[in-house]
Amino acid sequence: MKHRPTAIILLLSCIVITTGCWDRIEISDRVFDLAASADLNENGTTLIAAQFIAPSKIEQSSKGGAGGDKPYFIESGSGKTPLEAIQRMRQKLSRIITRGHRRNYYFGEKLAKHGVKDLLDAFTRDPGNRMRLDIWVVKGNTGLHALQVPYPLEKIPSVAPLKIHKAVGGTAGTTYLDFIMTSSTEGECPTLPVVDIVTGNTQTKTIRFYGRAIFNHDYKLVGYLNFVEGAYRQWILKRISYLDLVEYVPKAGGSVGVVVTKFGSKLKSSVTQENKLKMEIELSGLGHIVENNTNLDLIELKNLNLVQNSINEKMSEHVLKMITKVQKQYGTDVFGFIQALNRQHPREWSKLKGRWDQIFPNIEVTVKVNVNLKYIGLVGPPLQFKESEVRK
Amino acid sequence: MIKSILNNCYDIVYRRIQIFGQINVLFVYLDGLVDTKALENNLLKPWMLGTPRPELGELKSLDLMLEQLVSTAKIKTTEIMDETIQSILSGNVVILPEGVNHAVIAKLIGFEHRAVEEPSSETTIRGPKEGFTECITVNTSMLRRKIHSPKLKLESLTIGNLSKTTIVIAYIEGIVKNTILEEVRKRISQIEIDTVLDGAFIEEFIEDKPFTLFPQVQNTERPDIVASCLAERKVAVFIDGTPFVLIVPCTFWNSFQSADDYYERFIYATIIRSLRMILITTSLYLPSIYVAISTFHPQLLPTNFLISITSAREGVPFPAVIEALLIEFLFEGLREAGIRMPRQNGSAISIVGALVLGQAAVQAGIISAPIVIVVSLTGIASLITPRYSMGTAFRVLRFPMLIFSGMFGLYGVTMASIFLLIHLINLESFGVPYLSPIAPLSRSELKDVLIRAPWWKMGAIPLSFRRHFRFSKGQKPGENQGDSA
Repeated sequence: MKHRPTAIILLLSCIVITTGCWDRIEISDRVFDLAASADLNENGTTLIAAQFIAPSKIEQSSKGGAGGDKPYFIESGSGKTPLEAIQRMRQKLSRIITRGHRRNYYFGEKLAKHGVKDLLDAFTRDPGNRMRLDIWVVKGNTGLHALQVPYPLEKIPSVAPLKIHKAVGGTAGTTYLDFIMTSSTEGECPTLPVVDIVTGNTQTKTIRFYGRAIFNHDYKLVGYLNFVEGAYRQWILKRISYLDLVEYVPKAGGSVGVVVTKFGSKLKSSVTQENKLKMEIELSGLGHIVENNTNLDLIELKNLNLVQNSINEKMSEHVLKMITKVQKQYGTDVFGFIQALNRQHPREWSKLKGRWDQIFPNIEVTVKVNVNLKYIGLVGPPLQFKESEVRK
Repeated sequence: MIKSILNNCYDIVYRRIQIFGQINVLFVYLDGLVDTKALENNLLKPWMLGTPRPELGELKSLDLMLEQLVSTAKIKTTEIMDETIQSILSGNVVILPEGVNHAVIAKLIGFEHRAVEEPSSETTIRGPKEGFTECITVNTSMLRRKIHSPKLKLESLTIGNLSKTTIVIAYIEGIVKNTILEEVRKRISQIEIDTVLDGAFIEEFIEDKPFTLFPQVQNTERPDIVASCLAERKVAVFIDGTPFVLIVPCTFWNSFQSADDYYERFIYATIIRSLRMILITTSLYLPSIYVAISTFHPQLLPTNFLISITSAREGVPFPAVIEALLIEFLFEGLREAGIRMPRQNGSAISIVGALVLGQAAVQAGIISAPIVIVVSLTGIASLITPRYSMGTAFRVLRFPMLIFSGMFGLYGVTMASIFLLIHLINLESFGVPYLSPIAPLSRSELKDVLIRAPWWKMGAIPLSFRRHFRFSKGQKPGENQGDSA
């Protein structure tokens, strides 16, 4: 009893000395990959590449040195399976790969079309993988190529797509989770966001947020939705925070630009007597007028109503067009229709179970967009018109 | 007889005079401890130069002496040798009249001591600026000046076989928690020690658990703190020769309360108190959390932060935990040097400290810049506690915490924190749980722990479990001021 404190201290130091119980890895013994890519080689093997931070180069670039050295490097490896490819890559690295900061993963288009089934297990099994990961499909190009494109705003270019995704109003960091979740839900089909590589006027390549890629049940890429179509789809799922749209108002002979915030959506399913399915979609939002190229003075309520009605009408058409395209062309339920039906009509759903792929293309869809134009600003009538031309 | 006991003491003065040429008396006193001016004016001058008063006759009994001759305020008589010697040594003047077997002790103490100054270890911006001195009578009088109540009791006793130090136990009758008072009396009376030079000597004898870093006795230099603590049912112990007064019981949360809290507006005081808590926690955890996150869990860092840390750690030879220990060690060394060194060397130390630690070592790539930032933040944070003795506890605990985090990461930090909590829960100060009133929870007392409630809200006296109230309710300022709430 008398020597207990001493004994405890001695025992503790024994742990340190005898067992070498220091399972720490210094930061200088780790290499952090911020983005990775998977591609399909010509011979059918998988090519895995990753963009790593090169710490010693960062210091130089932050000190203002014009070294020209990029603070990152790309390493790759190919193999029959993802693990084999990573193993080949590891043979070239002096440090332990730490994936905790990897928030972007690119799938090349070829691989996406071939199917990403084989990759998924390696993904879900690795505890070092981050759950808040964005997986991208690179439209018309390879993932490796997307890694190689420099980006002027960010020190490490692979931070860029994530930030673009946030800036355009998407829910960044959830695509991996969503992909896994929808693929385990019956009837639904997974989607992924898409980037493509474009050259601007200055001949420098850059990354662009393109839209959304649609996969089928075999995890094969079947088609793309462009930016606006993808945004409509996100609207239906309430996974969007910002959207700007320009719609033509025929009665006024000009277009009006609206920024939509506060998104709401309702899916109402019903089963008709002939056993056909009907889906009523109601989208709501709050509109801010940011552009008015008509000669209407929007301070007048009747003009505002006119614009609001025609914008909503136009938008409903566009959304319906997008849904029909998915229904007829791709035949994949990426709108959560099956879940709405399941919740609202559980009895009917159990009858339709397992036949969803045949039913989905024939669902009768009606869309009603209801954007409430609440904020018209203080500018009043458009400035480019003379007072006499403005319609009160 | 006295001469044989007090031989080889050059500062003893024997002065033989004749009162009015009739009575022979011997003065014995210690040079330097006695107010010589008062002695000359009150006793020597009237006795030696005054006109003889033949009606006095022979000195038959002591009464005559006391009633008509000795003109000092406080006197005492004794016939015991030891007491006589003791009172000489305490600075009294002993008058030995011829023909009487009693000694008259006249209290004419007047030695040099420090004037009342602003307390150096606990300064405030607003509020009283006086601090205790080394002289116990001055100290108790300062307390008396704060509490003009007959209920304020000051019990005196002497401790120390050699030092014979006066100790005063102060409490307010009727308010003090009697169990605590009894316990203090008992523990102090059991002390046997040769010298008492500071409160720490007493503190180590009366605290509940010796093997802990946490002080279970509060010490203060401020009379206002003592007064407010006495009003909160506590007991204060004054020790002669030190400006630090001990207060028991003391809880963990006392270390976050500064005197300033009660002199500033309560909203500000609450904010500052929470700032203090955050920073004290920082001083304990920051280095270990840095080490744990950077070596075990780099996922927890934001990516951009990670990028700058990786580049800063590039090429540094030591592991993060060794680096942290090294810099902490150096910092503690600097601080100790700052206290011990002669004032004139101050600039040399600070220049070398700043240049060598901050600048050269980082540029030479021996240590990384983040760890210097972390350690200096920790250093600043550890100086923020209003109670120095509690600050030292956190200073020392930082090192085991660092070792744990270096071994087991955040898991180790959690483990060490649990050990620490278990230890704190086990502590008691004079029967009061150390973490009270948080654990065990007493809701009415929470008004002065994490927050500082306004005075009109703090009716219930702490440690009283709502049985004692300082004042009646309904004093909240406002329209209905004075109405009972």
